[in-house]
Amino acid sequence: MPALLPRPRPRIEVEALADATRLCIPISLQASLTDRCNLRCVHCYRVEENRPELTTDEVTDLLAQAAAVGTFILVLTGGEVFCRCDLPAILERALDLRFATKVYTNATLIDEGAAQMLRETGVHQVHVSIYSADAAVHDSITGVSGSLAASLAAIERLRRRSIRVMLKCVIMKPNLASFASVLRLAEELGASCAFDPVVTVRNDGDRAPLALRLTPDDLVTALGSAAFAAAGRDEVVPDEFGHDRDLADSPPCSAGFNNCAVSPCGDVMPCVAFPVVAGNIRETPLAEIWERSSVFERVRATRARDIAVCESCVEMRQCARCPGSAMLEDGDVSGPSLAACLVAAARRAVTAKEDLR
Amino acid sequence: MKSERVRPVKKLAVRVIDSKAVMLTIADSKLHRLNLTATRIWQGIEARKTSAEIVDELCAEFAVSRERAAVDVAALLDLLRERGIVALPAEEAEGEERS
Repeated sequence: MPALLPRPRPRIEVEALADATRLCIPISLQASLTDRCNLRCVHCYRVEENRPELTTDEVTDLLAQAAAVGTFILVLTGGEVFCRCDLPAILERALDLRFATKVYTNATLIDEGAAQMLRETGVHQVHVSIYSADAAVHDSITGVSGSLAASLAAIERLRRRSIRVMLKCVIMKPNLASFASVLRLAEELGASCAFDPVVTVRNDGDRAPLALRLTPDDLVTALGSAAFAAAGRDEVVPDEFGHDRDLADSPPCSAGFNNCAVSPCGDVMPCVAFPVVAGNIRETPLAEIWERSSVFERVRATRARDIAVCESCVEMRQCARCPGSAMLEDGDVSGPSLAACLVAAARRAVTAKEDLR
Repeated sequence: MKSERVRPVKKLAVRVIDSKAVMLTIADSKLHRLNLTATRIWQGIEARKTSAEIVDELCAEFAVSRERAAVDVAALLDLLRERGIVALPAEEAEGEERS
């Protein structure tokens, strides 16, 4: 049972997140720098915008604006961030502005020079998507032969430079039999590891990735595994913390409360997984969008008690309901999220099994 | 220590939230949080003020004797240096080479 609950966060982190939520500060900002990617992952949720990406100057200006409104954790993601040749300039600016910067990447484009650049620009953590230690399985998911070998070679370059690496693995049907090998790989590489048992719909509502989602029985298998229990969590990122889940008037999610996201073309949203556009930084300053947009006002007016069905659900305290998933997959941002319900049911089943032992 | 010359290390994430600084030292991935007074001292360090100038500001802002403020500033600088948040320029360069 304890293994299924999130590990406690450090007190400082909890307090800072709670303060940010109370004061409505976007302590975490996820900036998707590009939709371009050199891999073709079968489960990818991204949808290309077909609008011009923010220029280097626009991105660095965004960072300055984010620092001014109090953003502390900067997540640079894609697409594949290393498809942007101006990434060094962006990271240098992030260092100057004193962000805790994380880079989400498939790592296949990180050569010696890129690894050294990450070291010199003080990137706090690099998150690398790895789906299996079995190259056939991993490469079939990424759609590119040799991608696992390239990622592992890059992780070794990062490790030699003492850059913290987290392996992140979405568990889905194609890697259910071998996802645990990612944890072993992480241990061998001196990296941390985190699993996500939920495949989501694409950001345009395309349900095709759901064919890869674990069945309820598969979920029980995955969540009940020793590897899942032993894996870490994504540190220093606001999610369900900063709120008291016992209270019905707590925010249902950090999105829009202490977290926001910016798309490659400058659209501002509550989260990368909650793609409702609140404004665009090419037209409106970030602070104005964050403080005054009707989208954020509506998001912040919602409390856990307002979520139909969920309020009376016995699983509420352990539930990681995503409003974006509820909106995109289930069609009602104010309703339950089927994905979260499935995970909650699986947790309950695993707990019941453990109680019988 | 030569507290006059310490500076924030380069690889340090910082924001002031609710008048209290939250910091992440990248070298050891540790989070730190300063209280209100320590944050005021920190802001002086960030602004490249000398210890004496910071003490002057504290005395002007708070009901505290100059002696007591000087002791508090020196103690905080020692603590920040111990935690790798500030360093003498030579120390930071050495640390980079070692790591």
